[in-house]
Amino acid sequence: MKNLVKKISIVGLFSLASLYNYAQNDIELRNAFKQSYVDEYNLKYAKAIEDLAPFVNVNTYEVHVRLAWLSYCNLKFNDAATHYKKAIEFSPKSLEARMGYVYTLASLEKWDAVIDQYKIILGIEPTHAVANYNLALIYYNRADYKSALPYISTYINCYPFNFEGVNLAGWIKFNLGYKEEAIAYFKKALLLSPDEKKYDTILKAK
Amino acid sequence: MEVLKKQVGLVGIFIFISLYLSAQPDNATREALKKSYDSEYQLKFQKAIDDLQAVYEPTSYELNLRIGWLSYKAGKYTESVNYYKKAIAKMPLSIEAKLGIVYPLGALEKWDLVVDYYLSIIKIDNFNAVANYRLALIYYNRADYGNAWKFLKKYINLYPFDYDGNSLAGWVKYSVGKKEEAYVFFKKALLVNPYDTSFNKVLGIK
Repeated sequence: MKNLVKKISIVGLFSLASLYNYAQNDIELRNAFKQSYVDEYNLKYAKAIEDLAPFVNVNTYEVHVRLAWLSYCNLKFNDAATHYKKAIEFSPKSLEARMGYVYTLASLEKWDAVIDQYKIILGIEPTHAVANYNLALIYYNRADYKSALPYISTYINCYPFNFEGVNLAGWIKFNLGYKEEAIAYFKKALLLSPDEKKYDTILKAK
Repeated sequence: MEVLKKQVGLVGIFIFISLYLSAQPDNATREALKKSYDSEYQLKFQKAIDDLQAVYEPTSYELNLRIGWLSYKAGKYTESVNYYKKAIAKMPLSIEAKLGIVYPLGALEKWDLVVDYYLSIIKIDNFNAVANYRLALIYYNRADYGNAWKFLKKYINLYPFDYDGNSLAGWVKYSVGKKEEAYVFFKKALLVNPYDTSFNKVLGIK
């Protein structure tokens, strides 16, 4: 009986210690995040990264996504990419991590990889506004108007009265030779931004 | 030859007049919208609506959407709903119009209709972040935790490090008695906002 009480006490103490340690870790991690927000607010990105350094091996989505963002802000794009990749491994469907990752890839001018990420995002959410618009824009800038068209069409269906959307739709149609459709989009764009001058030549030539 | 010149001249004048007249509605609408944007900027919402009355066309998606918004800002919620409905009838896939109509409906406390419109957004965009989060919030406020979780889990999968998502997920889990799962979400919420004290009692933080 004495042994049993002793065992229970040891187990109890061990459990209490575990709980305490767990809570202590939570508090430490929370304080590190807190300090990193303060440093980020003061634009001290390297310091904000250092604040979280003791937890870099705490493999959680939250730590990696935060370190990725701070590394991006600190212009350490390769470090940012590494952390975003790890965050995505933890949460493959995370759009917030993938959106963060594409900004990093764009800074590294890895546009094919940016396209891949946007396509993965569209595999998760086919009508995702930012992914559709940005894919259309990338293809437009590559003069690949046919590839740009389905993405801008999806975007414009969901957001028909959006300046960026109707403006880009107009230019894509114009470059594909659909001038009448392009003019219809430019006119819509002018309803949103009546002082816009960039369509003047085209609309006057009509 | 002179007759031909006269005929060509007449045709030219006719084309010019036709083009001039056909461009007038565009210009008038554009000018009206320009005035309306200026009035809105000065917070004169009724004036911004009045600016559009002369060019209003019941079948115009753009004008119905615009007046729907301005009527909402002017506190004319019933009128706002009617204009938004006309915009939606014209563009049934428009997410922007559906995200607009829920504001006057919310102001009118027609929550069942708000739910219907969010559900119709989800039919177009299954993972729409705003619709999923707000549906979860409405169901949570109705103490319908099953439906709340149905929509929230989609949101939290795509945005795992979002304060609102983690906080609401914590409260939904807590309300159905899944306290351990709730704590995990609360702790994540605290990493995003370490200054939050709303979970202190539940987590035993002093």
